[in-house]
This record gives sequence, structure tokens and C-alpha cells, in this order.
Amino acid sequence: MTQLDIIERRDGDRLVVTVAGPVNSYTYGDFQEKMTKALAAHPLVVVDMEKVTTLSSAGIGVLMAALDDAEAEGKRIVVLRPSEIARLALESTGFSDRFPVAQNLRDI
Amino acid sequence: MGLNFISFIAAIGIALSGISIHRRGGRDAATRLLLIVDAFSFAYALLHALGTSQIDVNHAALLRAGFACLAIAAGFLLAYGLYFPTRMGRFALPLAILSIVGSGGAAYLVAQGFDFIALARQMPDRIFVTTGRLFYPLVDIVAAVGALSGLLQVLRVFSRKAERITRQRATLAALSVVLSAVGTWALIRLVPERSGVRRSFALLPLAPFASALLSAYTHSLSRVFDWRENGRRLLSYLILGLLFGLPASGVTALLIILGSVYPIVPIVGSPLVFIVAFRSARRFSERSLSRLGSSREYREELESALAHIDLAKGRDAVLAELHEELSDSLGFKDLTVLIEDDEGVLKTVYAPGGGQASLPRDAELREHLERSGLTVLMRSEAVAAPIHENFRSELVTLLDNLKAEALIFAKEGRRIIGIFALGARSSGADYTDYDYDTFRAIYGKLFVFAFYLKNVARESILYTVDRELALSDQVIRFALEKVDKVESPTADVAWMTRSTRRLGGDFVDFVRLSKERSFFVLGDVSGKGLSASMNMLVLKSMIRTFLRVERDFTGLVQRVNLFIKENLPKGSFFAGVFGYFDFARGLCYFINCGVPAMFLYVPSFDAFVEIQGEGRVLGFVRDVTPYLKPRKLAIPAGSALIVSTDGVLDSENIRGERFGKDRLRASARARLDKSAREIADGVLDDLLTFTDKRQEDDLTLLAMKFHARSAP
Repeated sequence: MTQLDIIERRDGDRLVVTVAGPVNSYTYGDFQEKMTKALAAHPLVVVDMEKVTTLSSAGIGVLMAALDDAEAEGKRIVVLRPSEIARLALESTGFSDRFPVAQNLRDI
Repeated sequence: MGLNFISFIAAIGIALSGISIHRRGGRDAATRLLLIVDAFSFAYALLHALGTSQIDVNHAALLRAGFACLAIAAGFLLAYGLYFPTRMGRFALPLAILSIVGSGGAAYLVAQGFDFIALARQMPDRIFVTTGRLFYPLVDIVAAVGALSGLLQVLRVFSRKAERITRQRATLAALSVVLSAVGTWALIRLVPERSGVRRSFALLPLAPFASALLSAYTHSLSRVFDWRENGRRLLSYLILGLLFGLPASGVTALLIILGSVYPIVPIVGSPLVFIVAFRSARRFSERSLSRLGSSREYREELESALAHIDLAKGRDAVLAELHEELSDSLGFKDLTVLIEDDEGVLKTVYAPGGGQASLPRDAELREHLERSGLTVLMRSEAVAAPIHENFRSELVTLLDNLKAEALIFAKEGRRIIGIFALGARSSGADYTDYDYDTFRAIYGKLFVFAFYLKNVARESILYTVDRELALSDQVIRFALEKVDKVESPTADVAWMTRSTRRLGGDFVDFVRLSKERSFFVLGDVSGKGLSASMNMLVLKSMIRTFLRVERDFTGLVQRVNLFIKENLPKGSFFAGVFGYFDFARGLCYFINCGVPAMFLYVPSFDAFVEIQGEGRVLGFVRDVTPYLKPRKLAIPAGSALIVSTDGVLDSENIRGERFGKDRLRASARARLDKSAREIADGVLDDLLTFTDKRQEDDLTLLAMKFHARSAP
């Protein structure tokens, strides 16, 4: 899979952003734009990363920036069911504990 | 020892004042005169201390010699007032000679016999001094001359147009003259006698001591004293003292009383009281006292505003926005920006107010500014600081040409690559210490703008059709040129960096500390393409700048971390390693900041050992210090080091298999008998064969081999 698909759906006052495919230097712009808009309009954004096939430094940077913005504005971001690759990429930063992760929507 | 121990303390204090003036440099007439004043004041305080001590000496002779020194010091102090802060025209020299000769005459009268100090007898608990007929008249005359001189000095400066800093220095210098003369007079005349003895006699050196301290401060003063800001601080301390210090002292006193019954109570209770009071005071200060100066404290807003200027908007828009943000916060109109061109000349690139200047690479003034290590220069410093005494007129001319009151220098290492010249405030007020601190605080951000203007935002490049690729050549060439050669004969070093789309954020840098010591960085700045390249270059340059000022290894990494967090675009981070090689001792110290693979080939094991350990990327949290773990590594002869970024490990073949650590190790091991260059190139060949020539991420690999030192 070389294309990044991003689907958004509302779930109460939270927004679930489902990301599928590679988040890399070619695709992170779209991911960044969607995250910025999502955070501006919702107090809680859930990023479903179960189908992420690549998460490069550009993609991690988008998540880090979104996390910073959310903290500054008193909002929340939760990573849902990260794929093995996404989990390893987040762990490689040494700060994986800073990314709130959930395995189930009910737990959030 | 009685009160005269204060004289010994005064002597030490005066000596330290003199030393501080001497160390600050400056060999003009005023500085030399002040050093002479301090030398005689020191002699006076010491002789006075001995003359009033219980040591079996000729007390009267010591006191006479001491007062003779004081008289000479007073003469030189008057002469100093004629040369500081500016020379008093053609009258300065004759008046200075007159005051020194006059003080010499007074010193002769004091020293020669019984008219000043008649007798000094040793009593069981003090020295009983009988003054002569000239004692009081001489003290009165010196006090009157000192007060008159101070008054004339202030009038002289205020009667003509002068910089505010000059007026402040003149006022304080006059005050130090008055303090010495009138202070001595007051201690003699105003403290009443008891049983025919003046107890204040032993305290007389306090006046020249206070004068020496004030003179040293005045002499070092090169920025306008911010009365409001300092008043606010004083008020804050008073409030904290009244609200927290006083009650805490009361409680502690109570605990000490209780201690007579329960000795443990003050031992345990006093530190607790102190901690509670300190924490409460700090909280109160942060929440309430900070409001006292709210209207004038703009630093945080300015830092935030500068951080949000978008460099992607282009050169003209960036400069206009920078000008607007600075002028809004500081209340000035004119901003002039100079940037170094390809020939190394600092040229004006932005000057809506008409300021113009140019500083060639070899200009003496520029060399002086680079050598001085300054990043901020205020006009008051150009006028007053001893360090600039040989370049004062050139500096003032430069400031005039740029219509500036303050200059901020963007430096790459020692070299100035840009100057931001800030004009006068519209209100007419001077820049203060608070402004100075703010300029230093925003330095990192202004450096980014200078770097951007110098290396990226040149119009000739902006108008290039294929902008990214045109820039990439410049970026890569620049990056390669800036790496220092490792000169140690025991180290063989090679690396390769290969970016996708010719642009990337990976880099390797070696900084030569000495022939046998090198600092290195290898890593990956997040993002891709133009922005990553630019971030990489800025970061690489900043690391070299920080290396000049930061001696602590973890401190250096924290500085880099904070720079990324505060200055690079949001979401930027750096994953890599910082290291320091001591080739002579066969040691390497390193801090892993998220580099995924470091392997050391250990000859005694005949195996590669994975050594990178745990690491945290930089730029995610504001303070990364608690997470940094410096490691020490022995690098014996015959060993080899391989370091790679994630691009190498994560490269995949057509079946989706990763190149990974095992293949990297195997590839390097197969070439252990080859040179470092052949190892680096060979690993790349293996990797590209594995991926069938496909490359989806930047690749960076460092290979080092360590040899035994050959016998001399």
C-alpha cells in the first residue's frame, strides 16, 4: 500500500481519525492538515493507527506537534491500537509513554 | 580584637575592588587614577587597622602614615573626577596636578609630626588617640573640597549634551568622591565622644571602603541603570521579607526558646520553617509579584511571536514581520539588518529607515567584535565599556550609520554572519538591563533568521525554477565543507549520507578540539526535503556555536534540545548521537539521543557488541536532562565502530523484510580488514543490493577503525 487513507467520524464529542497506509515524507502533509483541523474543532481526537504500515520521523513529528497543541489547549489525543510498526516507531523516540495509547474505544 | 577588625575587612574589600577594576581592562587615565586611589586607600585601611590594634607597635606613627595615604588617595580621587566619565577639557591636567600636589602637601603635614595625631597610647581595651591642632581643620577642608568637587562634577556633565549613561556614571562617580570625603568627616564629627574617646575612630576606613565599592561599580557600569526595574525588585524583596521572612524569623526564635526545654525542636523545626517560608515566598512571588512589572515585561510574548514567524513566506515578508514584532515589543521604529554575503562582507539587506553600513571580512572593528565574544552591544557599552576603548569612535560611527541604539550579532562559532540593528525608542527612553537580557534571550531565534537570510532566502535562489534541487547542491556542499578533519593517526574515519530526493535531514559532523580530541554528532532531523535540510543546517551550526560556550556535555545536549523545541518548526525532533573522542587515551564518551544502532567491534571477543543503549530524541520535552545518560566507552586498538540512523535499518526489500541490525553487522564484519571508507561504501552496496536499488529514507552510516599508535 503506497497511499494514505484518512477517514474521520464523529463519536459523541470526540473525533475518530482512522489512518491507513504509510505515514512518510510523501504523505504526512495530509495527515498534518487533518490533525490540525480535528484538534481545532474537538476536545478529544482518537487516532486509530491499526492499519499504519510505515510511520517515519515526519509522521511522528505530526503526532508530537498535535500532542503539544492539545496539551496547550487543554485537549486530548489518544492513539488507538497502533500497528506493530507504529508502536516501534513511537518507542524509538524514547518517549512512547508520552503518547496516550488505548486498545479499545471503550477504554477512552 | 575590637572594632578595628572592620578596618581589616575594609582593606580586603578595597583590594578586591582594585583587582576587579584591573581585571576589567582599560588603561585610560581615569582607570589608572582609580587604581592609584585604591592602592592608597588600601594602604590607609591596613595601616589604620594596625594602628588601632593591640599589637605592640608605634601606633601613632602607623596612624600618621595611614592618614597621609588617605590624603594622597583623596587627591587622586579628585583628579579621577576630572577624567571620569569624560575628560574635563583643557583644565583637567592642571587641576589634577593641583589636587595631587595639594594632597601631597596635606600628607606631609599629617605625617611629619604631632599636629595631626599627637599621641596614640595603648590602653587595656583600646588605643587612646590624642589629636593635634591640625586634625579637625584638615578633616573639614578635605570634606568641603570633596563635596564641592562632587557637585562640580555633576554640574559639568549635566550642563551639556551627554549620553544618559555618561550622566549616570558621572553622578555615581561624584557620589563616590563625596562618600569618601564626607563619610570620613561624618564619622569624625558627628559621632559623639564618650569619656573623651570616639569609638567611631576605628571605623574610619569604612568611608573609603564604601567609596571604593561604588567607584568599582561605577567604572564597570556600561548599561543604563533601570531605576524602575531595580526599584521593583527592591520592593519585591521588601514585600517577601515582610510577609514571609519576618514571620519565619519569629517562629524560628520561638523554636529556639523552646529548644531550652526540647533541644530537638529548633534542630528539626528551623529547617522546616525555612523550607515552608521559602516555598510559600516563591509561589507568592510567581503568582502575585510578577504583576508589579507587567506592562514592561514583554519577553515571553516577543519570544512566542518570533517563534511563530513562518519562514516559508519568503524573505521580504519574514523581514517585515520580524520588524513589526520587534518594534511592537520594544517601541522603536528603525530596524536595519546586515547579512554576510559570499565574499564575507556584512552588507545591509533591510533598512526601511535608511541605515547603511558595510563591514568587510578583514575590518579591524569586525575582528574586535568577533574576538570579544559579544552577542549584544548597546550604545551605552560602546561609549563606556573599557573593552571597547580602542574602537569607541568606530563603534559609535557604526551605530550612527545604522541609526541604532543596540546591535545583536548572529554568530556562527566566532564569525558574525548577521547584525540586527535596533533603532532608538520612539519614547526617547534608553534600552535597559531588562532589554539587554531580552536580547540575549531571543538571540537563538534571531540567529535562525540570520541563517535563513544568509543561506536560504537569497532572491537569486528563490527565483530558481527547480528551487529544492538548486538549494540541495548548496545545502550539501555547505554541510560537507563544514566537517573538521580527524587528525589522530590512530583513527580511520569515514561516513556516507545519502538522501532521498537529494534533500534530507541526516548529517554527520566532526568538530576538532585538538589533534587527539574530536567532538562528533550523527543524526537525523525529522521531516524531509527542503525544510529538513534547512533544519539540519541550522542545528548543525547551532551545535558548533553551543560547543564554544557550553563545557558540560549534558548541558550542551540540553541546549540543543531546547533550541529545537523553541526554534525549529513545531514537531521537529532530532534522533542521533553526540560523542567525544579522546584518541590518545582510547576513550569515547557519548550520549544516545535516539540513534538506533551503534556497534563496537571488540577484538578480544572477535564480535560486534551493541552499545547504543536507551536513548531519547531531542525536541520533544523542554528539559531532557533527566533522560540523558552519558556513557563511557573504551576503544582499544583493533576495534571498530559502526553507527547508523534508522534509514539503514528500516530499508526493506521487495518481500517487506528489513535490512536490520544483523545484516548491518554481517556486512561490516565482512570488511573488517578493509579501511573505514571501504566499510561504509561496502555496507551501502550491500544495502542497495538488498533493496534492489530502492531507497525510501535517508541513509547515514559512520564507520571508524582504531589503530595502535606506531612506535616513534
